[in-house]
Amino acid sequence: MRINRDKTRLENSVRISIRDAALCLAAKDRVIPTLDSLVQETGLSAAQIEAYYPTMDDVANEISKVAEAMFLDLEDAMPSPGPLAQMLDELADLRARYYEAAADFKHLGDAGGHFLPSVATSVAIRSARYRASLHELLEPHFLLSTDDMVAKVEFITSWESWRHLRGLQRLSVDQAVALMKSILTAVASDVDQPVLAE
Amino acid sequence: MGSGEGVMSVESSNAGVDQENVREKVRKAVFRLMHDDRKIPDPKNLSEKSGVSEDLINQMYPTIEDLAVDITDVLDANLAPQYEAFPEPGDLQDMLAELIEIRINLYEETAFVRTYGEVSEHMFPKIREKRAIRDGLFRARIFDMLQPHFGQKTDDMAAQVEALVSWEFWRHMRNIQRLSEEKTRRIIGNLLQQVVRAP
Repeated sequence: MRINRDKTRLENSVRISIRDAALCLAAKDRVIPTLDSLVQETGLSAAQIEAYYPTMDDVANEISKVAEAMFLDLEDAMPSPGPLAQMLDELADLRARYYEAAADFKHLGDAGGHFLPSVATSVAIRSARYRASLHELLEPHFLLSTDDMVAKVEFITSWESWRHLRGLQRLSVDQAVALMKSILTAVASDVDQPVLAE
Repeated sequence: MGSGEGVMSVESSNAGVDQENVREKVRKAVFRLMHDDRKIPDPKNLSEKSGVSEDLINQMYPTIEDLAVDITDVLDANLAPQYEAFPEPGDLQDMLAELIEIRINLYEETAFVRTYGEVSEHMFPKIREKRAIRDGLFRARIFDMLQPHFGQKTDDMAAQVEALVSWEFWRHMRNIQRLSEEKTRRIIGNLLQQVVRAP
């Protein structure tokens, strides 16, 4: 029994070392991991690596799971129901906190999503989950125009927007949050539909 | 969305025709590998795809970053008129509507290559620098366009307008929300109007 336990522990540790090497290559060295680079980084043979992760998509899948577990609370955090302006303000703060914490993984997902189906699937699922939460949050305020409003709010508070503001415009976190809030305020203050919840 | 073939070729002088033809084969192979096969290009698979020997590829492009820079330079040169297009001074609403038209046309035409360009931006500092320079020029033009209308609030307004007509925002609407081109134009137009009305 003890031999089995030790074997499992060893296998887990090899698996984790491959996964961590892939993470290190991708996030720190900004290199998309390949079988060759993993061989170099871990000192394991290609066959050993393939025994744990038959394809690079399997490595990506494992990294996605780690990231999801690490940031689940931040990613799922949504404002408490209340006045619309207050909720939108809080939403901007919550998304900023999440994007700042998970930025390395998000950048990695952007690069890997073009080649790795599991990354693209994971992004699609998470986006749909966020969209559903937004719909629930905004529906009492916008009724029939909820779909349009969700599209706009999702767009303004998306990772792609955050990446643009922080990475391209080089705004500070405070500036980027302020800009996000400013656009959200402009959108919310220009609504034709009656805002019942207020 | 275009296939990228149209923006991948380069005008060659007589002296460099042969070499340029070879380079073009390699550049096209990069996109076929990334798009059709979803593979990261390396000298071996590039050689198989392009029919150019591995040695010649290594000689022309000592690093994969050199290849990425060459592709970016060709794309930038071929797309210069689209990148440089900008509304003529006039009524603010008309200028914003034209700006959306110009930028979305650019993104629709170049989505194929820009999407893969993102991978290069992630990996190669030289590509990030090139993008930063181009974006800086665009930012300055937006500032000049808005300054007569917003005075001291121009900085804030320019940042919002730049964000709303950016590639990243467009990419989110089309690739993440999977909205149609028409709906994307409508939403971005609507948001811009709301933003410039707000101050």
